[in-house]
Amino acid sequence: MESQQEAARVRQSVPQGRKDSGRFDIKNIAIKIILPAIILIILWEVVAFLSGTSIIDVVNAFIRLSIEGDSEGHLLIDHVRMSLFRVVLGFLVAILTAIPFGITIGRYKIMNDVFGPVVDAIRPIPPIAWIPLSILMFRANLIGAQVFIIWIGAFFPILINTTTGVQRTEPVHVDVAKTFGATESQILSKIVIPSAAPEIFAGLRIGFGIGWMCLVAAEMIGGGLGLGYLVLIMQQVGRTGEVISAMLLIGLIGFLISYVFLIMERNILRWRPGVSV
Amino acid sequence: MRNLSKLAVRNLSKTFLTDEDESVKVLDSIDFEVKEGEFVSILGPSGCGKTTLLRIIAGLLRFSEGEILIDGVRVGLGHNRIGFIFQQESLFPWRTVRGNIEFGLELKGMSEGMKQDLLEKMLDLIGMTEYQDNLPHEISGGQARKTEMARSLITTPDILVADEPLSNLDAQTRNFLQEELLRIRERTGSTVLFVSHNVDETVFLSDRILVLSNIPARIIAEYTIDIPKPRDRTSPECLSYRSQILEVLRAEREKILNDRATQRPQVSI
Repeated sequence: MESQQEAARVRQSVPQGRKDSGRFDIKNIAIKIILPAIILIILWEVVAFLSGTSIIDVVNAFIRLSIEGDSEGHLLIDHVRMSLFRVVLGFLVAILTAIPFGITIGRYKIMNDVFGPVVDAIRPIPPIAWIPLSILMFRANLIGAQVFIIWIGAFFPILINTTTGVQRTEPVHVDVAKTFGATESQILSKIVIPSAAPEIFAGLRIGFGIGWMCLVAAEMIGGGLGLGYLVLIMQQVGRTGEVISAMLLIGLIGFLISYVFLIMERNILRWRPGVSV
Repeated sequence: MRNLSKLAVRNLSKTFLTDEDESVKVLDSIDFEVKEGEFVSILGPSGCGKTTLLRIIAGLLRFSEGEILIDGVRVGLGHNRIGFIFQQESLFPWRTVRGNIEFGLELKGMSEGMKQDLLEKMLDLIGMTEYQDNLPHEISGGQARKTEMARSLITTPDILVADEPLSNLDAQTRNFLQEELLRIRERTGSTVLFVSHNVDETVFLSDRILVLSNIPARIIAEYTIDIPKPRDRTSPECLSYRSQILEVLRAEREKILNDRATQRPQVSI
């Protein structure tokens, strides 16, 4: 009932909102586009001044990287491909481990009692602090070490969100399933997981973001390819334009992927009354 | 003909253990039967353990002593012979009206064709065919209750158990749904066990009313409502039953107040 009234309120308020935004169009544009643009330009000027570079340098560098490649002859697209390969691999491993683990911890109290403290002890260690150790553990297998770092970065947000989502399952929904004689696996697949889906999705989005950041750091230990590596070697040979264009590309790819997550979330979780993306 | 009753609850007792390891008796030798096709209501003061009783009957909670028989067969924790309508709204928000109703059939692994047929009939019976693709947050409270009813009834449970299903609705919707409940039951022939704190409602709906005492709950009164349906809520017969039952409930409430005065520990369940 309440939610229906809410929905009605939302429906009523939508056209009003449009009218408002029509009336304050100029103000809106100023706040949402012009001011941010000015701030970005000022920030850029500061960066450009401190690093002694210009927009032209960055654009030229971008074109050069795309067509001719870096100082070692690798094209930009190869770096992007390699970075995406590593992050997807690490992220998939994180999904496959964190979601089942999160569901068990969230649903079974004994698992929470045992593993809760373990998770709390390891979670505060920043993923990047694992880099030196991971090189040792993977015996200089760089790809393994880098994927491990991404996994560490993405694992905890997905785990924590999954656990929270599962714990927030309405007991009455589980009771309904029980009155129909549902088995535990049916309760998991038909009640617990669908009702935790919003939190799990948020966990995936956050986990991917952190995984992406960790990747760039992890690539700076070497590997010959990858956007993080590109930033590092370009700085070493003193080509600031290339450094900045690689940085911008890292940001752009991260943004695009998290946007894709949002779209997916919006489509899959249409049942949520208040889904605001 | 004791063995032919649909549901028999025999000497059922339930004792809870509190966190301080004190045992609290909630149900005390509850004993009653419900016949096939009968509509029985349970009334009682708030916090007397009505919900506990229903959860035990539905196989959601263990009991301490006694037995529960459905069609003469003992049932315990985890049986699925009862359709339960919960006090709070319990539709799955991620499923449409249709998806909610077919939930029980899905668990049984019923074929798509048979499911379709039953669904169509059920949607038609509750008058929700045009809302079948709506999500729970897009329908009204009354429609949600009807959908829950349909979800429980579609698997043709032996007994439909309802725990104050209409208590959170406004008076008009409630009256309408009471009539709907009777109409739907007429069509399905279901046996119903209905819990309420609303005397008016139970007199309007029931063939028989059981009145429970304060905690630990016992059955202190039983009324067979001998008025043909459909009933007129304001008829002298209905009013006479109402005042009798209200009197019993008032006496129980006074006992609580007296008990408070003598400082017996109160437990709310």
